[in-house]
Amino acid sequence: MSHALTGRYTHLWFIGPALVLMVLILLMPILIAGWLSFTDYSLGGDAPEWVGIENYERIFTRSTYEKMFGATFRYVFVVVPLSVALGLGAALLIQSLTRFGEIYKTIYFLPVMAALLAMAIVWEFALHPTIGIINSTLELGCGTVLEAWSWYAAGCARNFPLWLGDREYAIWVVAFIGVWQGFGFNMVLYLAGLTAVPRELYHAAEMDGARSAWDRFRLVTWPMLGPTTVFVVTISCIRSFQVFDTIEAFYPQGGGPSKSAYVMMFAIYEKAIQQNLVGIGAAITVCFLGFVMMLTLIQRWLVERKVHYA
Amino acid sequence: MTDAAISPAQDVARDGTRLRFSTAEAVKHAVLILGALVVLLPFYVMVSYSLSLIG
Repeated sequence: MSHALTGRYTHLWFIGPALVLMVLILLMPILIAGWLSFTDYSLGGDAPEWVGIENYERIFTRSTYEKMFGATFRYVFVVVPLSVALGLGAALLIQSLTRFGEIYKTIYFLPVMAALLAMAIVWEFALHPTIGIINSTLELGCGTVLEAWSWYAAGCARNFPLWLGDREYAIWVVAFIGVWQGFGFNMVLYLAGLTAVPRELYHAAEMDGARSAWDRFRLVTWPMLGPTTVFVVTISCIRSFQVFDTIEAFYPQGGGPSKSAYVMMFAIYEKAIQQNLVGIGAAITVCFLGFVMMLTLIQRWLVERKVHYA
Repeated sequence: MTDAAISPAQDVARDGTRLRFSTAEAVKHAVLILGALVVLLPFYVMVSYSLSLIG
């Protein structure tokens, strides 16, 4: 064996390739984005000039970016809890079935396998205010007991919402599609987590007086699913922050009616690619990275305190 | 013996609780079918539009 491999710095040969790759692929782009965010760089333009925190000032003072943060956080705070809760609920129900569980698993996993961009176009058809199946179905309920609901009666009297074209509904509809697409993946993760819960714990809990299903869930299932939940919530958060396909499919000209669905990832694309304002695009990217990192750290700190890894 | 074999459902299969178990199972299926309908809605729209005539 050569001297270089047996010497004092041998370990560097082992960690070197991974370290170089990590710097090149992970750290370097972040550092470059950080540097660009303090410049007015645009592709093909003059040499970038240092503008200090001007790009960040714009982001935190202009109303467009205020809407961007609002839409992003609304989306994340709807999609994450709902997709996690529905994923867990579906997994528990399917796990407790004696028959046909495989059919439900397949159906619920279908949206995960489908291309979101293509499915967004299908949702656009379904949600069309005049020819869409959603409003056509809602119209069937006019003149029935459903009109006791004031929202429904208003829809029958005038028109049902424009959904994607209405600034009051746009981000919630996009969030609904996010939940529709994402909860099947969480369900699969929870199903895997449930198979790892030892059956003896349920028997022991029952002997200790945990008679109801709720008691067994509260005392055995939920604590044992702690590591799975940490993973599911973290993944769901990051995926929700990264929402882009649906917004691009629904609103290629801009983030929806009155910028009500102007999420961060779309803003990065619009500024840096469409408008060639790389500096401001890089500043939004840095904010995006900061939010994701902060959220992940808070989450891990909050949840891992109560998580017991077997 | 498998877990399914020692499940309460089969322990009480011959007495009155069988009906209660069946109802619980039916409710679970009803909830899951409702969810499945929502999940399958865009796929139904996609297939129905692809089979309909233009114009």
